[in-house]
Amino acid sequence: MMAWAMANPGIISLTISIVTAGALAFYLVVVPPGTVPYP
Amino acid sequence: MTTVRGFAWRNLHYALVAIFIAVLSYLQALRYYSFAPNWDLGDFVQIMWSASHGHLFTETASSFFGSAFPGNLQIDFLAIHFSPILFLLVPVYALLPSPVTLLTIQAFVIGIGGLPLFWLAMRTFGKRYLALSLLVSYLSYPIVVSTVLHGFAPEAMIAPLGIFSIYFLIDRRWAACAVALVLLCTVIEEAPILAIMICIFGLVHFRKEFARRQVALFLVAIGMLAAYMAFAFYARVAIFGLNPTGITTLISQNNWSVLGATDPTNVPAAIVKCPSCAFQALLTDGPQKVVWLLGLLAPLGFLPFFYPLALLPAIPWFFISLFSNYLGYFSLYDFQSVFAIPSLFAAAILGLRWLSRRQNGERLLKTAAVVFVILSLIFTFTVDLNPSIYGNSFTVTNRDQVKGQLVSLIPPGASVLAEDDVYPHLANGLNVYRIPPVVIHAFYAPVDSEILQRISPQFIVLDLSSQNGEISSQTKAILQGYVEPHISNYSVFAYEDGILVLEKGQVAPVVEKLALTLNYTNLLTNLKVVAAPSISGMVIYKPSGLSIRTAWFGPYAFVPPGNYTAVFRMELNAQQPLNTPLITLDASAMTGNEILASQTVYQANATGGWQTFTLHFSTKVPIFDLELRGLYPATNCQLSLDLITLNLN
Repeated sequence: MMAWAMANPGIISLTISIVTAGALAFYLVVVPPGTVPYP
Repeated sequence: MTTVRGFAWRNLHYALVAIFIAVLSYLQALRYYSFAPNWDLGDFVQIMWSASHGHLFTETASSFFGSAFPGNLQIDFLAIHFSPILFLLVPVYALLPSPVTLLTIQAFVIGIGGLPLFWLAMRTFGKRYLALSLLVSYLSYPIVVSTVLHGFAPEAMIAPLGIFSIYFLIDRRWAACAVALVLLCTVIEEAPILAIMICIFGLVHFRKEFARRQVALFLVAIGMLAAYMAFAFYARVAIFGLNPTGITTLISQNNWSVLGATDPTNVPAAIVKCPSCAFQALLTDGPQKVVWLLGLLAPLGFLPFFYPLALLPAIPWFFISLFSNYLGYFSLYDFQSVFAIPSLFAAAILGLRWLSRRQNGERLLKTAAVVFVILSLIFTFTVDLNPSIYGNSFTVTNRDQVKGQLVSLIPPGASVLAEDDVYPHLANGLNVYRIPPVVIHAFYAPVDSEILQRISPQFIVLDLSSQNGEISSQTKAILQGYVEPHISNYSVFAYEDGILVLEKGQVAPVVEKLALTLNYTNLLTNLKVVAAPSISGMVIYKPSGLSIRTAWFGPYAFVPPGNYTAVFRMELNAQQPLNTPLITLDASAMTGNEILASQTVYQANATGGWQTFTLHFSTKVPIFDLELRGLYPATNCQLSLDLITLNLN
């Protein structure tokens, strides 16, 4: 498994990105971050 | 048929960019007509009006940024930001003089940035499906979308010009690259840093094939870019009148106050000077910074990590952002991160190329294309149009239309004081004013006082019912700092649905409609709000046996002079002698000290079930804090308040 992951870093990276995107979507949409004030 | 399909496939990238521009322009227009607060747009509408009327980029909108108070109420925008690229937009604005023109330009320039990205991907991989998926990734990238929806900012041009620069650089088209870099520098005074970093990236990228002559050429270019940047900073002060110790400095100090830097250019020096401050600054708002980094990298499949050299041009912006304590620098919903876009996308393409050359290249490229589309779908329908950020600003409500109608009654060229959601609608002139909200920075309070003391507008536009904290903060400051002291000089020009337009002098109102509905949402109470079969669905409820002095109070509303009728819809349940007072209803002003009308409801008046009680009152002066209260409810009375309707007769 480890050897496969080392040999396929691109696939691992792309997979992690989908999981991260789902987590971000949940965090940012469900937990309102608030508006950004003008400096 | 095959030919048509082939044609469509070959030109799909143009269609995708066109769809992006059309959709985002439409969303921008909706935000404009729904009066979404847009501070920057006010500046740019005014400076484009100025430039197309021969006043260079003179503005009043943000003059306080450039000069210290007491100072001039007018300043040239080039003092605030040195953005000569704006000259290119003046002829367009002169032909189509509307804020919507600027909003469309914003969508257009960002959308166009997708084309060099597509061409770079085609040149790198030679696979149209992959280049198209990367284009889709760009067009749905959170920072790309939020930069457009920000409204208008010249910084948006960083994205296309930065991507064009890198594309021409990698493609060895030196002359075209030079033109793109020059244009890039004219976007804003800090843009030459990005141009210099792109040149350094080029030097490292081509280190094996560059002859000494080419290296020298790049070094000369870097020197010229640095000289231009020095000139840009010098010109703001020496030519266009920026006060170097004014508000801009105060804001910069505020943005890096944890680190101790006074502006972005001395962030590196401040890190070296105080490493513990730097560590502290890095940890400030840590979770938001992590979310921001993930939001920059996850849409690109984290591929930039596989070609970190191409991240070189973005490094200054990572430093500026990560060591700042200003949320805008590490938010996915601000345009500041646009500086990192060219580098991040170039790094993603080159990272994918590096990976595909290792093994299973073809399979990886196909997987990447599918993943880019999946990521785009996720971001488009969640983060990009996040309802917790954009609220209902994509819907033009009836109230927005009323606001638009009232604003359109103000004659063109009139001097106006307005809040920043209305400001862009009126900024065609140099006698239009606004004040920065003190909820953003406490040091805006003296600025507001200074502006309000120095102006004498013909019209004042206020949204007295705005739910937006920044707008209501401006309303409060204008009411207290200008309207109340000068109310005898003004009369109500128009009033409807909480939107007030005052005009100097004694004038008859052109529109005056008032119908307020007050219930648990806008009245204040210490009682419970419970669900009940009523018009509002929820009622302010006092059980029998509870002793309380005030059942409800507020909402401290503004009402113009006139005769009013307030109808209270209530349910009273008590078994008391008929002459027992159950509750006193009143209309009051001056925080309850001035009673305009009052009525005591007795047991004899209570019929059981829902019933209405009416109060009539009149006022010859505007009231700034009207309350419709329920006082002294009888302890052994169970009462529910459904709603109060207030009508101007």
